[in-house]
Amino acid sequence: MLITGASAGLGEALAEALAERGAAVVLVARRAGPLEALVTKLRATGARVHGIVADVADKEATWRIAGEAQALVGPIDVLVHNASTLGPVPLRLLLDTDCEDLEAVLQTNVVGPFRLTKALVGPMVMRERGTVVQISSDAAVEAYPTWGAYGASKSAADHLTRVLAAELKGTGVRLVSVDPGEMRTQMHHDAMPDADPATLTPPRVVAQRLLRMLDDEAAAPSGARVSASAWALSS
Amino acid sequence: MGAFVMNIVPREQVRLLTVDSMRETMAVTPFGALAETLGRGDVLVVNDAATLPASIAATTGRGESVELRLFDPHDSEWSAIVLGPGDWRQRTEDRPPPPVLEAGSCLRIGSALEARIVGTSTESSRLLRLHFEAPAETVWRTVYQRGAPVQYAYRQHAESLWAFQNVYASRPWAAEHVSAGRALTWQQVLALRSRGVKVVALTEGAGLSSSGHAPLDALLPLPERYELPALTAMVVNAALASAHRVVAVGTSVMRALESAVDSSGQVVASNDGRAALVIDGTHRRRVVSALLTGIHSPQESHYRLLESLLRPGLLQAASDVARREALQEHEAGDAMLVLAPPIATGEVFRARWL
Repeated sequence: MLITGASAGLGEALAEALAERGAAVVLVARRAGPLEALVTKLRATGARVHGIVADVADKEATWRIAGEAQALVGPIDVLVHNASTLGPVPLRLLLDTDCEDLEAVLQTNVVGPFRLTKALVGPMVMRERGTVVQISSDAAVEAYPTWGAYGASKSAADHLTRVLAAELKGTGVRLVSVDPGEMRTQMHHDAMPDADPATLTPPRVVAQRLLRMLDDEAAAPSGARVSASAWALSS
Repeated sequence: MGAFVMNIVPREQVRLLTVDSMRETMAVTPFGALAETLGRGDVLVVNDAATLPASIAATTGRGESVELRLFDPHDSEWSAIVLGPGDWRQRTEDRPPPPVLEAGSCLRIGSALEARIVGTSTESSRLLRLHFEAPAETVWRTVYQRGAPVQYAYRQHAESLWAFQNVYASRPWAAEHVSAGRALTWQQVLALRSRGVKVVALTEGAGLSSSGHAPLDALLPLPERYELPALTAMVVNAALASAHRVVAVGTSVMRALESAVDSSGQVVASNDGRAALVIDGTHRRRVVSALLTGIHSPQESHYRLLESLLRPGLLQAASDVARREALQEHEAGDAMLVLAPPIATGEVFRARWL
């Protein structure tokens, strides 16, 4: 399995949950320090975890990520596009957003994941199995003022997921978008510093729901856009 | 020496020379015609090895700069060919010889990685077996950070790794682009599947095509590691049992499939196979009945492999057509599909083909 944006928030929580399951996991993140700390912590529990320091927005990093990951753990069966950026904060109206900032958001949230999908989905099609999860947001479907760059990027990523699912129908590869809901993360704090943390869901809870979703292909078929809250936890 | 530049044929403009040895016909078409040539029950087998950034600078213990061309990564041990001063703009055969390196000595790659030479070939001291003490994570990170794909002197510009990957590329086992699959797009792969053609993969660590050193080049192709999944073995065996075509996409796939067949004629799945066959006109094919490959000249080892699929007169005629139609040779050129008689005998063959 490969998770981008893995050094914090939902990515970190997913890494921990997958490591507990015994999966071989490759974690990708830009910041070396937090990533290495997480890899060290998980390895101490006996987990098979590797870290790759890379920026998904960097085109030249694509084959490095795909190559290193598959060399270390073999073909990737599950790819989670979790890396994401809001763009400049405080968030601002679209007409106050610099074009370059919009481009940067699209590189990280749309084009980078698309490149990584191109590099990793091919082998899934050949093996006739695999899952790609695009972490989305309700900003992809709701027109929240000041969330334009982020929302447009998530909407674009969702639609790429839908079209890819249609194109790869019958190949055995599943592509889904997941709205994780509002989480108690640094990113949420950056976007909405006045939000009450007590009203936000811990990432580890969302991570458990996501793993249930992965196991539940009938309820989250290829091409679907699903809400993580639909998978209730039994404990 | 003057610049020798060859045209790169864009993937979408690749032409296909189809040579049918049973009908003794030849046709040049757009590459997309491949899907119409094959039918339900036929199998296309690709090599899904991604291309390594195999060219990497290193320093000897005496401080000499060399270029390593890495291949056959296997845990902490890799193979390498060492080249002397110069870069990809020079043909390898025009480059000065490298210093002689001895087993036991070390090579440094950047600041974080050291490779110990654990063996040199008796035929050529330029062929090395390396051992890395560092963890695999460090080795791969350094290779990707400091390495570059093997480039070709006939090209005008160095290309990024993106230019050397097939659409289905997976683990980075290939020292050079497995270019026979270059023109296969997803449009074509899915079109083949919709016609009932099975498209499956194996992974073969295709090595270097040339070192520029005659004694070493005489050894090529070296034995190459392959992994043949159970799904691929099952699909190929089903095609063999029903006298359908097994199309190898590239000579590396042909070597692997012909190496993987057991005494009963069944292709056997393997996690750690070794393709050691050197295929020429004397080889009796047991699996592969068609080959999708580039346009090859008689000087290449790949041409000798074609002799196992085509009688000499037809192979010469195909070369003449390729020349007359100005089909482009080399890794980024046009393509050839050679259709030989399917592997089957007796009633199964007669029922399907006669």
